Amino acid sequence: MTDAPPERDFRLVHPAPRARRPVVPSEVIAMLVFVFTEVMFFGGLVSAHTITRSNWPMWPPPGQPRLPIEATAVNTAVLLASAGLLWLAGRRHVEGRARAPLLGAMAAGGFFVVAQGYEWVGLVREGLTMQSSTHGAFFYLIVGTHALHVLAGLGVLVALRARLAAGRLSVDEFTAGRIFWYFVVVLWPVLYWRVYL
Amino acid sequence: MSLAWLAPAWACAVCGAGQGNDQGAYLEMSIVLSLMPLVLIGGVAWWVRGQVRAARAAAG
Repeated sequence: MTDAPPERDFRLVHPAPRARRPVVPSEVIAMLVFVFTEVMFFGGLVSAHTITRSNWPMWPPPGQPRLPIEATAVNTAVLLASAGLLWLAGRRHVEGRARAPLLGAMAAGGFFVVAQGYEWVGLVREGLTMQSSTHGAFFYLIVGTHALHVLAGLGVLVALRARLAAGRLSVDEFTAGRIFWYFVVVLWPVLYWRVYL
Repeated sequence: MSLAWLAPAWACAVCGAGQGNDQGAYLEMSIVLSLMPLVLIGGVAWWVRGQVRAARAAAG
């Protein structure tokens, strides 16, 4: 009878690797890369607007409707408030109290879009269209593109809200969604400054 | 279908450029657009560095 080598428990030699949390989650990295491309896209639009505007002795060009600077300033404040509410929702997420501030952020974002639509109706009635002038073309191109991003951001917030209600919203997903909304909000004052003022 | 909707692209910086007054704007925007990616990438690199340091400190 030969002596069989003793069986070795390799789990003792090589313990199972510990699950490690990445320093920067994949969702966040992906969203940051996407937001970078968006920043460069809007940078191109603002650049084109700035160069074109510099060719005119006065802006808006004579005969063009005046943009509603004061009403849009109020609307800007509402959009900034939505970012504040979303930040609060992020702080409260771990405690399970993110629902109310998240709904508030969605309501403020919705108000911003509706107010802009109302503003656009008035401007179109006054004669400012995509083809009425260079001023109109740039206004609707830049502000309209941003409005599309706000709508997309609202879609993201709705999706986050649904996952939160289902109890399936992870911290990393919430962070990635919030980054997009912060981008949309922080971009707007820059566009307001360049396009309206 | 999009061909049927063709219209002049008024929102074009190049079509009306090069008249003299826009040279400063060209320079300004060239600087901004050149530096923007560097600032973005540098900002994220700085943030990731902080995250790594915090993770190492938490791990002891």
